[in-house]
Amino acid sequence: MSPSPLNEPGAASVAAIEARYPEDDRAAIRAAYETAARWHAGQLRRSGDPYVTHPVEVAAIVADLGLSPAAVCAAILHDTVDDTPYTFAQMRAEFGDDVTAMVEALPTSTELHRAALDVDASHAGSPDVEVLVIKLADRLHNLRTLQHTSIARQVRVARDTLETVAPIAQRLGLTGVRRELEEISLAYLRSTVVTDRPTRATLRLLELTTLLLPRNARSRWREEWAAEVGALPTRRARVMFTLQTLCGVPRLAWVLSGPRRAVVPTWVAGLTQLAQALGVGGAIVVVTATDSVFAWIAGGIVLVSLALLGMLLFVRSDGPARRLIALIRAWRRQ
Amino acid sequence: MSDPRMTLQTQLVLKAFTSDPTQQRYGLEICDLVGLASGTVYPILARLEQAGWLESGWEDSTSVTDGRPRRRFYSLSADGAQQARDALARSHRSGRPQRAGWTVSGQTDPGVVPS
Repeated sequence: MSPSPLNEPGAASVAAIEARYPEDDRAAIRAAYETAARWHAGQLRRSGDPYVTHPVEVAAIVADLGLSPAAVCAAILHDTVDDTPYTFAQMRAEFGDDVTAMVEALPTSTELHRAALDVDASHAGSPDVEVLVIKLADRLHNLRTLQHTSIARQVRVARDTLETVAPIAQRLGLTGVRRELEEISLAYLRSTVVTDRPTRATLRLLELTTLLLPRNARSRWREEWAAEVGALPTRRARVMFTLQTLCGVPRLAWVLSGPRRAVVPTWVAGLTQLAQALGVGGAIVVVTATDSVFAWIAGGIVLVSLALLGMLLFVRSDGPARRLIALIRAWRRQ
Repeated sequence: MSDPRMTLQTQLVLKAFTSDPTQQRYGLEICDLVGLASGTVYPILARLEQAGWLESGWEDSTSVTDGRPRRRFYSLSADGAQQARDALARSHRSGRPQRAGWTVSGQTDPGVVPS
């Protein structure tokens, strides 16, 4: 008996996935779905949904990221061997070596970090990288449906995601995945302590300013501050703490970027300071001389962009500074 | 890594650690102990940690009950304890007068005895 289209759980998503791939690959994707649906039949997710909806949604994420048809099949089949009597030998007979090798190579959550270190992230599209991406998609869908699990598990998964999984997504260049992993995880860590709206609003503002910090330091400070805020007894104390901490973020960013800042030669720093002084002076002169609304707005824009320039050069990373140096050198050579 | 600059606030934070060198403390606790705003204390903690004087680590998650987020704890490193004492002693010797009424946590400041 063949599952009737669109009535079976996950079938609509599978149809959408198939539509993204050429005709030749669709049969294999459909077969993988039918196998997964058959073996997972009767199993349920914590949400109460049929279990097969999970591997299908993982495959949908994998397909959205443009991975190979083999990776899509591997994503659909990723839990069959672990959670059902289905065996790798059966899988190899039905779906071939490529798909089976990927499912076999899927790291467990504890192996993930090690596996990510071993993989050369520059080989996008290689089976090694695709296996990692399937694992990331698996975690992403688990996070999206994390509300159905216990609070203790939510906190544990959220922490592990921030510490281990999100950095791997970043390393593989999956910025969108990394952002969603972090946003969902932070929301769970926050919600365990802070419920009032002013605190949430200021805390979110604080999280936003942590963008000034070097990327690898952000989640540590966000989590550290969220924990401190949660321990404060009154709303007033929480908001005050958050705002005070916020004032210290630029300085913290300065401290944390210390070793890398050294690559900016002093003459570039001097030149930038001079440009900033001239810009600020010029803006003030223009604003006071004309005293119109437009001048105020223009002056404000100049000041803000100068401040941003300063931050870009000295705080966030040395990339923009290097580019500026290269630009100036090229200009002088002409 | 060069030694951190001994500003007034840095000295206060260091004293909070040297007064009980084995005690682990978290950021908010230090803010309360020394009476400084969190925006001042965290950059100092980061600087001292970068200099290797302080170490930090997450609270053991098994000791955290009821889903409260774990805290980040700071403590003096093995080297740091001695270096912090030396630096505090130096900054006192260098002629900066110690202001009366400087106390840590409301107790009388034990101060640092110059060797």
